[in-house]
Amino acid sequence: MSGESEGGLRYWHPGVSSGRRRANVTADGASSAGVSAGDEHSDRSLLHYFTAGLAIIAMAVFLITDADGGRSESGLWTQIVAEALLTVILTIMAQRNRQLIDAHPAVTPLLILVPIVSLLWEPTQRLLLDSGRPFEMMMMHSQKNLMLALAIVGLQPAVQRMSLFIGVILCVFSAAMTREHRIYWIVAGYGFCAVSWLILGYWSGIRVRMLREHAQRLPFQWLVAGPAIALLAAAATIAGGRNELSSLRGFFPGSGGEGDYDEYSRDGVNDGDALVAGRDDIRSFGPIDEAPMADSEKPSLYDVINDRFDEPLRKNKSVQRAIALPPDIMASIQQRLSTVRHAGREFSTLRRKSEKGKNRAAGISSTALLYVSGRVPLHLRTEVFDVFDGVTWYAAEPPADPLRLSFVSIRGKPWLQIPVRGNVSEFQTFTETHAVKPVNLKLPTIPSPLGTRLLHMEHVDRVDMFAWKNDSLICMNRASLPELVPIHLQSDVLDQKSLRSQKLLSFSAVRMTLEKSLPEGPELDRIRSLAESWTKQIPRGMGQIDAICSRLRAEYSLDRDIQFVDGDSTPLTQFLFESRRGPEYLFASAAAVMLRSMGYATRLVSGFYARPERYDARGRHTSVHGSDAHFWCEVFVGGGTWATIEPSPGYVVPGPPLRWFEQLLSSVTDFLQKCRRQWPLCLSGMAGLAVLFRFQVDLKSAVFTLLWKWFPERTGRGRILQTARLLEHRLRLAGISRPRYQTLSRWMSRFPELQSRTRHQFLHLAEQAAFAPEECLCGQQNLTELCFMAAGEFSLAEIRKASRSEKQKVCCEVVSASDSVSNAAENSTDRKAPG
Amino acid sequence: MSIASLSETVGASNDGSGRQEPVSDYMAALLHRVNEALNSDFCPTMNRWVYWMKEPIWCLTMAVGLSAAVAVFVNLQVLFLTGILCVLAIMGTVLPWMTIRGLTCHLSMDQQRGRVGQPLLVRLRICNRYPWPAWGLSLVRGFHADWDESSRVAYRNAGVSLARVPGWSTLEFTWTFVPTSHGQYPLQAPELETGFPFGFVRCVCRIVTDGRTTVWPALISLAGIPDSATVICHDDSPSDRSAGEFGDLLGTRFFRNGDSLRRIHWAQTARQQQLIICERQAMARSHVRLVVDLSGASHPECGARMSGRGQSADLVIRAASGICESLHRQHCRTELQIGTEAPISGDTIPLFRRQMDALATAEVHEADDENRSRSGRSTGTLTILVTTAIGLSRQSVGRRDLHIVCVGEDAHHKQTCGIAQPWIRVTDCTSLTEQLPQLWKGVCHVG
Repeated sequence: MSGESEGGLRYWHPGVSSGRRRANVTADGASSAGVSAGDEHSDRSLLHYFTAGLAIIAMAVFLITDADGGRSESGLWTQIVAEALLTVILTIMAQRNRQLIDAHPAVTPLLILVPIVSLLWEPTQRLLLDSGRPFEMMMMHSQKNLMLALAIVGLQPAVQRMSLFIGVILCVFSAAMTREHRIYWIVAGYGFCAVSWLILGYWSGIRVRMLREHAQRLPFQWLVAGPAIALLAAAATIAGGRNELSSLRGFFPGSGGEGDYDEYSRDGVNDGDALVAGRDDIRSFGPIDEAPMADSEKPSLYDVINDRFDEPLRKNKSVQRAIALPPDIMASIQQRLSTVRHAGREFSTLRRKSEKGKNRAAGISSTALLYVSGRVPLHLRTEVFDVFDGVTWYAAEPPADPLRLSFVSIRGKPWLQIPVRGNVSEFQTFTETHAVKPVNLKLPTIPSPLGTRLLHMEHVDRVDMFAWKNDSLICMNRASLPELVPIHLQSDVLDQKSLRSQKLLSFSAVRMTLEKSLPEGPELDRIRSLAESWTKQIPRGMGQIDAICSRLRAEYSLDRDIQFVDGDSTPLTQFLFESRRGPEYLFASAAAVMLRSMGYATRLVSGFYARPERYDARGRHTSVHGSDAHFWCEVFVGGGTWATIEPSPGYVVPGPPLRWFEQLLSSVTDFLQKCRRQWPLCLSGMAGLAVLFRFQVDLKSAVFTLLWKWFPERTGRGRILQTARLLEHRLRLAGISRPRYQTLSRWMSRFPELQSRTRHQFLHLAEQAAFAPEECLCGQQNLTELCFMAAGEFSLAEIRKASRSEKQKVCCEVVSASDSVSNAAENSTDRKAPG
Repeated sequence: MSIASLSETVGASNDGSGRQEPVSDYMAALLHRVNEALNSDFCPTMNRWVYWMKEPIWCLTMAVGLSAAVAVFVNLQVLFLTGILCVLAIMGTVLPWMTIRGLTCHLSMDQQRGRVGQPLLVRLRICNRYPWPAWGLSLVRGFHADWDESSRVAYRNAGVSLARVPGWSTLEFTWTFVPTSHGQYPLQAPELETGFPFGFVRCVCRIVTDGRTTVWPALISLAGIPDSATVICHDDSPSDRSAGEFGDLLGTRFFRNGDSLRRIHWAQTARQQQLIICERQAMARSHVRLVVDLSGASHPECGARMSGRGQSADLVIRAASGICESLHRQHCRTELQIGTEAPISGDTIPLFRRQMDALATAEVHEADDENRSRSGRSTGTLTILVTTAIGLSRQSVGRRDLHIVCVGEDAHHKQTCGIAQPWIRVTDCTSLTEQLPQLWKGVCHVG
């Protein structure tokens, strides 16, 4: 102390140079501690109103989530404003009658009644008003009402905290359920205010007893800085998020995804009536604000393919002459080719670059053509090509003897049953469910995966609405699919892994002449020899198919901008032997032709590839755009079954749903890949772990101490024993555990560094607590204080120091003992020597 | 406001005519019972296993776990909420820890002794070794008689709080503290705690205490010394005058039978032709033995509280200190015996302070020798035993020199035969300060 000023002001000048501060604080008088009653009252009132405001924000968040776009904005905000006004008015009334609210016996029963009445209202609403809410919404509504009630009567801090806690839970729920961006902003605002509430609550708690002369206003910089830091961290977490994880749906019962049926469920595949035609309820899936090309013409499949893979080049006659199908096939399909050409259902592999088309494609690629709900990646088939003349693929025709379509009723819904030729049951399949909603695609064909067995469109139960497009595709008998109507599809997907393990695949396709037909010519011989060289010494079967696909994927690169010369050779041969790069249709064509040259029945398939990257977590669907138009091929494996083959690099054929250990493995793999991508973060994390490992003993000691502090024993004896256990933990961590045959006091007496009056007193008491009757401790006072002092004096650092000195002492003793032994040996040698 | 009137206020219904009907008493009673049932703790033994959930940090931990689960299983976007909650948890835990790590505190009290109700000056010196300021500090423990870990919330207004201690600085805070009960302050080792900014956890720094202040009980002025007090001749600071054969000559009077012939004033006798006796008076001091009954048997509630002091013990100590101090003020030699401790006897100021210090810090003991604690040995000296109604019931009749001051009335111990009757019985414990002087004055000159 360097001086004393008037009025008892004292200045300290510690030896710190740069950051030295002066303190001039004095509080005198009996009432120096604590703010005035008026300030305290205003603090409490402010907190009360603040709590009510937070509850109103959480209520708004939840109501917006509950509406989920199914209500008009005006109706929604009317309800929010009405509830907010009611809350504010009741809060003001409660504040004015705080004496009444604090003591009235009706408050607690009313608080209990609020959620109960909310829950009881639901069956009444369902019975009388024929409307209802899903289970989770019902529960959360009751919690929302309880939160508002607690906020209204929240004159005590504990009640306010309860209201805030429920508000946090509501915000978590709403953020998980919502699809609206504004919710995140409002939740962020709620978080900001909640952090400020926490700071204000703490400050008002200590302000009651703050020294009047030293009392300061609330540190407003903290009210801003605290929430800002939290929000910045939150922004970082959003930036690092990935959407794939959220495909694990079905956590809440009734929300869909797990197959249960609930009339009042929110949405989901196979769950409830919420997934209905988009005209009536846009909630199904596919948000309306993403509806593409609202002011443009709907693209047909032809437009999409041309936008994606450029326009076909008009073939000159010489090229037409250069390629030739086998005469027997040519004769039988002459009429058909004419029909196909007339309908524009052929696909030429010779295409030219179109600037106009590219521009339009760029515009289209930013929009969605259809939405898919369910597991992705997924190959959605829209056209099947079976005849190839060397340049052009021709689409397959409807079967001459089509199998009869029929409707079956599943859970009261009409499902179109799609029959299958052949015996599929000899292969292992798994059932998958998807829903497809065309948004702006002019196409009568139903985009569906291979092996679709059941199809459902709401309110469509007439067979004549559907027809076979070809042997495996269903189309509607109308110009295009109805817009925004979800089409539910259930398919039997071939398990590719089991297919490869099955050795008795026949691949016999005796009748499939078209699917095995090839144009004749020298180019075909080159392709055949190439295929044979790739599959040399590989037995016939899936091994050869995989070899061709893997060579194509490995040695050829995907290039959609390549331009082939319209010359003597076909684009396929240019791709295979010269450029070794090209678009997907050339990969698919090459695989199909090479496999055909080896006797396999194949066909080219066009359609859409639903990419996992496009999965929208909020909408819980995958959007399919014009740029997702894709070509692949299918190979006949016998038994009326075709298998999808994907020769294009970057595309995968999905396997069966992962089992739990496969999911685990996949998670681990994903984690490792993520670590590799974010190596700085990973390295810093590892460094942190290393630091944790280095200071693990200190951390363990800190944890034990915290547990000892936070969960104190009630009785003095228990507290002493608890402190003794803490001491034993520290001894163990320092490597000097007490042996079982010694008491703590006896063991500690080995360490002179740990001797002091307090320690001795505590150890004596610990022995009494452990071995003496209860009465011996009754007269002892200040046991808790003694325990605190002992815990402080027997710190880990002190024990470590004692342990080190003990070890050094032991080493010295060992050395001296060995010296004495050697001396004794020398002496004995000396004594023996004269003898 | 009574429950019935509250119910009438809230339950009143307006029937449209402006007339309000009161809710029936039955409904009010029912409501009261329901409220009591809803607020009852039916399993108090389980509290130690569930009360940790009341701690804000555990609520936050639960919220973090919930949001993380929802983020993984439902919607990854919820991770931003998890992030907010995690940051809050880290800030709320690390900041108080970092703040308290840099603080060193010393507490000192200016006075050695004080009295209940009189302000004491307390000095708290806080040194912040770290560059960042320490916000929202609170001094807890040590200044409230009933404070312990479990009553942290109940006495959250006890003690003082400090808004801010700047970084790299040392500040001294002084404030006046008015003790409400006697004892040695600080009663427990004081601690400085902070939970700023959110109060999720409270990190504690132990305060080094330099010296303690003994706070005596509040003064109760009692006028007079019991007539039956033993009187000893004493020249200095007399409390009484002993008329008799010694001392100064006061006057003369006629002889009465029984007067000593040595005191006959022969000159006056000859002059008056009657036997005239000299009146003499010597300075004297009364001697009282004061026994304070703090045995555990007389104060059963102290054993249950495990605190060493309860309401009845406080009353006994307050009454005893009032008697002790008043006797001293009237120069009466007092011998104080508390429980089984050695008696403190003396009439000097230092000894008086020792007696008051002993009374201020006395606590209930499980007496080894109950007889000593009750009334002590019979020495012929006037003995005043200050005890409770339960202690009174354990006293036997027969000691003429034992005067019992009974503080408090126990409904279970009515007056029965064979039990000593109190000399003074203070029934209204809330007005000890007013009742005891009146009763004392009434009995002092009666014996």
